[in-house]
Amino acid sequence: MPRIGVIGSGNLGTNLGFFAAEKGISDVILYDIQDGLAKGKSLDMLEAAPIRRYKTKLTAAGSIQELYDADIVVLALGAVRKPGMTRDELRDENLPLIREMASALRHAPGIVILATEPVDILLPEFVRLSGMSPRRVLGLGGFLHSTRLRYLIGKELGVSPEDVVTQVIGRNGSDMIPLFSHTSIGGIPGTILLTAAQQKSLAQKLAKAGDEILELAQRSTSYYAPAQVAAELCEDILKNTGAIRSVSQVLDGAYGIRGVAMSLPSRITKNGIEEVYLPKLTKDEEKNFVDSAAALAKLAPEA
Amino acid sequence: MSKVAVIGAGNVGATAAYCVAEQNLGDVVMVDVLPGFPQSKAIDFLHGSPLGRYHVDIVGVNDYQTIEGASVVIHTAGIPRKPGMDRMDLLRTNVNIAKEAAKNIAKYAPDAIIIAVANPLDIIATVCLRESGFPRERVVGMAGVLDSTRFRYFIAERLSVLPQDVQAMVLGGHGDSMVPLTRYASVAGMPLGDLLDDQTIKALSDRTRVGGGEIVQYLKKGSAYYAPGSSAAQMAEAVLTDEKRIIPASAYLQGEYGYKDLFLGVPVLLGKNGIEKIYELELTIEEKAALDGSVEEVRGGLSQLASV
Repeated sequence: MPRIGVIGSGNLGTNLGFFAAEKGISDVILYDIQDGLAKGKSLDMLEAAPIRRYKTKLTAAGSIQELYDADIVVLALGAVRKPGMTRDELRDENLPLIREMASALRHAPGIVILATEPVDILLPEFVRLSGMSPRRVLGLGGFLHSTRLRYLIGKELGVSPEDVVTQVIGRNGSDMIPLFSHTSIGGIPGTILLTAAQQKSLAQKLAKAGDEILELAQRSTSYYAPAQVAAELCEDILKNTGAIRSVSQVLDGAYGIRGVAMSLPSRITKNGIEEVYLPKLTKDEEKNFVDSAAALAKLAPEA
Repeated sequence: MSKVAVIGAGNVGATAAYCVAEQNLGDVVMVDVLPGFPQSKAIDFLHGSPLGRYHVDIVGVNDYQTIEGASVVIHTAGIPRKPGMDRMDLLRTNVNIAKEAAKNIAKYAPDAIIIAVANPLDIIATVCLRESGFPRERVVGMAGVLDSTRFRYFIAERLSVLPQDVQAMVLGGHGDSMVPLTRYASVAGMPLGDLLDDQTIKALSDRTRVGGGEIVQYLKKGSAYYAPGSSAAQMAEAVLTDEKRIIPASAYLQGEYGYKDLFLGVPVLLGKNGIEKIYELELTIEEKAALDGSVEEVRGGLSQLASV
């Protein structure tokens, strides 16, 4: 059985464990620096097994070393935003943690999914220090926003979100770029079914979607949808599905950008990012993408 | 589509709501007193719906009106005990929350089945029954399912078998005095007593009694919610889809097992009308004595309720 290791037993990490357990795609090993937390959460999930009918082995690791050779390691540790905070403001607090993870997981044989914010800023640093192939380090970002946009479009048109396919690219946060030109609704181009005004209003709603949850909840950021997205990515990797997901990755010349990480549609296989696609962007979309890259470059931590 | 209301959007309530939604059992309304809180969870669930493939309506609200027409109401609301907090103060607060909920359920969802989950379970269930004025069939407490799923998991873990293959039942109140009915426990139909010695069975049964406490000890702050939320959702499913499942649940006894006027965990048949039947099992002298002890504990709680 493959193994997914989840570092950090907060809301995101544990719900990812639960969703992965429900999918039955792997053994799940939780780890948290706070003694007992991972053990308590995994036991709670195990005690639900007779009812939820999953057959997943859930355990708690005593150290990160136990996760080193897992098929997938998800980094879901560190501080999350408080209301009014930007993701960038988490950089200095979470950077040391990610550096520590990079050293613990140096040349790890599996695939790493980074969920700790700010994903796009921390990801190149993790790749650099871990010595892992950039193809094997994926950041959560565009896939979450694409999933949210699917829901929002489905709601707007009164159709099932399962029929909506779309891509959201760029920097994780409010300046992500929804590609209505790469949206299909039951086979019908999104640009036919959605007016320019609807597209604009959907883009605005999408930009505020994460903040809206944080403002409402006050005490926590969103975690159910992010955990579902992370679980889906794990399934894509373990089952070698070839699904095309917008994931954050260190760019290597896409739209002339190198060295910073942003989300682009990518074919996901057992090797991680098998192939990255460069959607044909409008002038405005490309400008936004390049501007985000420039902003990220300025925020890159000093080596 | 049926409607399920979940009162209290904390971890147990939200997990129950998620399980109900994920199985497309009904539209979900989460009610919580905290402005924004249930709304945030509802939106987060909805954002995941393209992947989770649920297509029910999910809303979070801060009023009871929206539960109108619900066929099942899961009551999880209550405050957790904080360090230094007086037990009676805690009880008073949670009883008052349940009172308000029950009155509003009677007003807006008069045909609903109430699944009481908040602790102290047997007391909160009593409050729900009294304040709603519902017949006893329509108020059921979630305790036995949770205690039994833990017992089943512990047995499965010990034998290295699939938890779903283990059948086991826990009777009595939802406290330390609960009665795991080890004599009827079986694994794929084989009596547990044929597979494990008495001492091991007793250890598993003792662990079950403090199963919730074990999680709290690990977590330090907070308590279990995956197993409790799943358990509540399973009861909701039994009602919503009229499954007629035989499960241990807290029912208001009127002479069954020789007890009257109190909620106690017993095997019931759960279907669209709520508790459709209470199974009266023959108990050994030891089992009956253990159940008497549990009843005493529940009665102790009820006398506290009188002074709230």
